[in-house]
Amino acid sequence: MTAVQDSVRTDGPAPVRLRLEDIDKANMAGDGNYLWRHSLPGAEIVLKVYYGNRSSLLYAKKTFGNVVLTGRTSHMPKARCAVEADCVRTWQSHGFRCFDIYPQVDVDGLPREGYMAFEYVPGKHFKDLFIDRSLPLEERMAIWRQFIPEWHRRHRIAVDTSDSRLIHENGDVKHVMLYEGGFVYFDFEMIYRSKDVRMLVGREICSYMRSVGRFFGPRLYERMLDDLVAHYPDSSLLLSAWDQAYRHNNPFMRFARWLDRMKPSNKKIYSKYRVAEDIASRLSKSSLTTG
Amino acid sequence: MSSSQTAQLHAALSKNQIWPLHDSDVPVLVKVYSAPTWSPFQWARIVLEGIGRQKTSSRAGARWRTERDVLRVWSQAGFDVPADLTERHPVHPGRPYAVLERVHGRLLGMLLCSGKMGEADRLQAVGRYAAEMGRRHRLAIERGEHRLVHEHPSLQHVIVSGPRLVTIDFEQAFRPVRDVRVLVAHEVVAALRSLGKGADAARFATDLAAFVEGYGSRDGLAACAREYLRSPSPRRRLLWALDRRLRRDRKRGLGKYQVAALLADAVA
Repeated sequence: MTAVQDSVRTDGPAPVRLRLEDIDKANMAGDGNYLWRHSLPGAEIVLKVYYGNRSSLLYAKKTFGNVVLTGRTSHMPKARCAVEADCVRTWQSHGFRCFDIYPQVDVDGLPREGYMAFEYVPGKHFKDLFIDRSLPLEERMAIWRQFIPEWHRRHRIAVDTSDSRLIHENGDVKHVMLYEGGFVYFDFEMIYRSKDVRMLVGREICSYMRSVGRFFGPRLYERMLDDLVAHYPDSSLLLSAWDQAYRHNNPFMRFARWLDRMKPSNKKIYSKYRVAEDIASRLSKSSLTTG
Repeated sequence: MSSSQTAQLHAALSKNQIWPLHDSDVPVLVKVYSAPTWSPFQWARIVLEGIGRQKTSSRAGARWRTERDVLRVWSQAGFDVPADLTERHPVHPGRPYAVLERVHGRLLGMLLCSGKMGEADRLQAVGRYAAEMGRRHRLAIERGEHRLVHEHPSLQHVIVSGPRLVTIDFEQAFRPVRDVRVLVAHEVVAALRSLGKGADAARFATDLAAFVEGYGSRDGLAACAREYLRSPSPRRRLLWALDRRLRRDRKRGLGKYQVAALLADAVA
């Protein structure tokens, strides 16, 4: 019994054994993992194969970078599979919707614990939703304002329980979707190992808002930023976005950030530092001690 | 953002921040005490405070501790202050913080300056403020409780919320002293200076009369005036004589010695 099997759903497809040659291998993903959609009686599934099209050497190199340099978990396929299963279980236990896992689906020809069968969710990714002009802007902003308290709730639980699994390491607008009026989160292959979860919250907030700027442009970025500051329930936790960039608790990290800021790429409009400044500037203005 | 704008943002964020907490069933505010600064001026201030000014430290952690302590003392003694709800609503700002009851109302100082209060309402408000202060001072003297004297009194630190007069801002407090009456004199004179800000002589005279009437102890107020004009302590008398000659007091509209003299006349 593997950790993956702990997240057994009570519904979903019946136990089934598939053959690799029967699966349509049109890859839904870009470079890296394989994502194959497959129909089963009573369910559409997506097979995620962590042994994708990258070489073992590249996985090893990235693992070294993750573990030694950036404080994250391993990039090796089995490790990513296990971490993702653990995160899905953790997120779901707190009421955050993720793609369900179907461990009852076996695939002959794939290394066990190197793949996972997920439910297929025909939702709309944030990156497509917020630039969909067929949806009135105010409706899109209403969805964003609906998202913000749920976003905060997860951050709050993460900090209260010191659980970095609740931090979306690869969090951005490509990895959240709207489905049936709620939000579905995915892509949890790696997590940060740091116990300073508040700093990780700040990092995640900046990461999401960076992607908002890059994908949606300046007008939406400004509006969504304004709404974030106005509607995020705990401004003192939102301040972590600034703290992780400019006032990190770890002196070594603070020095590293100072060096990092000198890079030309970090002076661009949607760099993590600019985003942190944009958030902090709005927070400062919204403080009752201002003016 | 230019480097000067970033520097300004750093400076702004190094001050206290107060935000409403929306994740709560009752209206509350999160007060985040300013991040520590490392400027020589700040450190000099901290050292001087410890040695000379007989007040608690201005470091963020000290201000946090002091404020929560004084809120507790005032609340237990029956004086209206924002409830400290920190234990009930913990947050994670990464700095010393307190979660305080949000009191909706208007600052007494703003109300009095607004010109929208009728004369009777104005004098009643001043009288209520003085009455609460007098009651608190009598208790402070009786118990020798220095924390019942407001270190930073101002009409901008009193919120009028319906029938409530809620006092705020307790980040620094006086250290324990032998004679609490010296501290009482400081608060009375500072409060009267705040009352006189922006007011002409006639206005201040009327307000002062209402204050004296409401305070409830002419002898107590006379002692406050005497402390600055003819202190019973030779050491303090010298100190005030030197202080009077400082330019900063003369620059201010209504200096504390001028107020003390007017108070002495009002209670005579």
